[in-house]
Amino acid sequence: MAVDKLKKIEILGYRNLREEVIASLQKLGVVQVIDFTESNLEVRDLVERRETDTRDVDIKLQQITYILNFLKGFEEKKGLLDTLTEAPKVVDQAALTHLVQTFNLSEYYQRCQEQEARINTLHSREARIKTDLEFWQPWKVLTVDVRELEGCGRYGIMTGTVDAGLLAPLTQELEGSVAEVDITEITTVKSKAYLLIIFLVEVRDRLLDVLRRYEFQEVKLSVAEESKTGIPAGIPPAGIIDQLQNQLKAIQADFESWHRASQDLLKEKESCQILHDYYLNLQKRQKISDLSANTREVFSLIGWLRAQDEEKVLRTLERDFSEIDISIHDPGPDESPPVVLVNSKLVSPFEMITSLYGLPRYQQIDPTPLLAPFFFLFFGLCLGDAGYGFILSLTAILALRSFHLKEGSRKLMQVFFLCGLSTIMCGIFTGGWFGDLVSNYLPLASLQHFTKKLTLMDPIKDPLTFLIFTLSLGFIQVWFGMSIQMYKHLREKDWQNAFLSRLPWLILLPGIILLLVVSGGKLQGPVWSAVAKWSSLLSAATIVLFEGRDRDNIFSRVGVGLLALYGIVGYYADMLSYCRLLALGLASAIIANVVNQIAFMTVKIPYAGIIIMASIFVVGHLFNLVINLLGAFVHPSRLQFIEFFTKFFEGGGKPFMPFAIESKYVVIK
Amino acid sequence: MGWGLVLAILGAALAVILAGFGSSIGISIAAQPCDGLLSENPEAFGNVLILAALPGTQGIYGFVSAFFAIIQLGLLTGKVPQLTVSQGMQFLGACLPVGFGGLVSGIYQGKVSAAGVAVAAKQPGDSMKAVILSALVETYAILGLLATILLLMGIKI
Repeated sequence: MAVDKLKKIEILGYRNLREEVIASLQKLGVVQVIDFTESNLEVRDLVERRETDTRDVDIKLQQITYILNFLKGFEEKKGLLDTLTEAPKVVDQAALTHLVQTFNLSEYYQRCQEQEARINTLHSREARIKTDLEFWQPWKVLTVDVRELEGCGRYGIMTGTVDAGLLAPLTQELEGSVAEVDITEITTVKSKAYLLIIFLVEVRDRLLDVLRRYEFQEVKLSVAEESKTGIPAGIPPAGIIDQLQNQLKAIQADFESWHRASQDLLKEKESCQILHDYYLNLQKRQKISDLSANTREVFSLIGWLRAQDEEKVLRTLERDFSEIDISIHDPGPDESPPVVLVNSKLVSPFEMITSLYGLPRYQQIDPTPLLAPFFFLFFGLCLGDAGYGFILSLTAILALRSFHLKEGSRKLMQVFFLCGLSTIMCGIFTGGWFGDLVSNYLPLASLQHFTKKLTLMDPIKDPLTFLIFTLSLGFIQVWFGMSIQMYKHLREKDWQNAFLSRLPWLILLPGIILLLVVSGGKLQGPVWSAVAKWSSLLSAATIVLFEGRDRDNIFSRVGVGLLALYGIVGYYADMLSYCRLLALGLASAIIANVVNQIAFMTVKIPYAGIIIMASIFVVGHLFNLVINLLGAFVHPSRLQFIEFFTKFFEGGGKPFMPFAIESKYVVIK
Repeated sequence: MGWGLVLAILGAALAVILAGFGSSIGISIAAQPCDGLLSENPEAFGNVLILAALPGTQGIYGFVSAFFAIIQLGLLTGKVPQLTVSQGMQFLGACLPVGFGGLVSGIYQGKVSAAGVAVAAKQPGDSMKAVILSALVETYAILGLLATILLLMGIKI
């Protein structure tokens, strides 16, 4: 129930066996290989490091990743539920070897690349045609060949646009100043007037002058050569538009045929996924072999493994390789092995809370079993509703049963399941059954009587009792954290720190509370008041006199002691921080009541009333559950990290990450 | 209807308004960088949603307080309570902790959450740590809520 025992393994063997040994270690999947320079191997100075050439594998992985990304665009989208329930495919070694030898990756890669290039070309052509169409659309009603718009002899022709609002004044002015002009409005689109202007060549300059003032923008209507655009010369705008639309249709047909061709490519997707995982693991092995120490003839690998796996590793390696030397021994006192936490089934989900903060170092205590009961209870108090707890536990158990979850999500669901039970418990004791559903709305007197009997404290009716309850929980956890620190000192045989620095606090904190209780008249009798007075006084005196015991000067010693005594404010502030449990519990209970109130208001609406009520009830309570679920996870976590861990826990451990087969898409057997 | 009730209702309204301001400003501060991240990595939605939603609790606390005040005033029972001006002022004062606590902590929690989006972007596995850091700010909205509720409980009508 703690940090698991680890052992160090050293393997020595002939160079030609290296890759096989590494493959065998990967299959075992229980050894974390470390860089040989991290060990105190004596041959360190003799060996050279050889970087394995990983380029080939890297390129292949890049190609596969490209292919898989490319294919993603052609797949049918799967629902979230399908992705969660889908079991990963299993591939055996023989099929894998066959696939690696026969599959022509580079050819397939090329096909995908070509396909993508074609589709990109189509896309850009499509975009160009669409812009052209937009350009020609306003001129559709012109029935002349666009080449004739260049004018001839004494006549000039101009086409262009002007702001629709300025058209009338423009025409007026032109009639006045430049008479030899004819303006025709072709159409108006989006407050832009499209104009055809015919004029005598002599007045061109004057005309341009006026037009410029009205911000006229000339538009040249012309078509590039047929060889480029595929549009024959000598047709009016309507004909051009027809041509363009035909082209667009052709492109869309092309798209469809390419899409079908890409569907063809999809058939090999699974092979690519298998290859991806194969090369990924090959790459991992190559990286591991870079961690080994090598001379010309010999290689050495160093790593960590859990003590429980020692037998298995020894047996497998000795069976498969007769010519290697394996030594396994305990870590030295100055070494820092990686950390694995081992806990009972009930406690192990809470390891996720611990690792959120950081793992303990190898020689330290695992805080998981210490925080688990507190977190369990606090979560329940924050959510505090039997109905919500039931939904939470049920959802979690369904997710665990029917989804293939990753390790992290599975632990979270396990925490939710357990904490859901705690929420049910707290809901029963605080009288929360979907808020006040049972007590105020359901016409079941016997059920009401029953739930009322079980209610010990109702945070809404009696927040003061609840407040004192949460603060007491705070006191218990802070005091508990400090006593763990004392236990740690005792374990290290550090008597001074244990009895002069820790013990006085453990007496002083309850002493002062006892003092308050006695002076408040709740507890009477000379014995109690004497106990309270003397325990507080003596422990405070011990702190003042001995906290600065490493100082020689008596004044500086007492000064340090007094400063340490001031730390009492911090401890009580930590306890006050637990009042958030009340606030969060109240918030979820009150919102639940509000939801009920609003929902049951709608019952009186004729016909639809029941349906409206049911939907408000369901949506409202789900909303409340989700919002408060976040708070119920985050705030109890914070209480562990800031109020509890600071009393005894130092993180800094590195997680144990055994070198194993990794898979993203398939499971390689 | 006397001024007492007016003041009491003003207090309940302020609890919702101020805390709601805090939440809306806070969420908008936190959600903007989230959009930036999502444009590159849409899968991160779950992680950043939590970060962006965190400053939302202040508004809820404001609402809870207002509701508590409404219950204390008995407004939903249909009987209009008779309050003296002094009692109205008491209600108004009691509602201020959650209002101002929510306003200020909501905005600053939004800033911490916004910074946490960087964690969600670069170390998706550690985004819960950023959530915890952001929740540190929320403590003071919670204390405000608690103070408001305890004060409201103490007012004698």
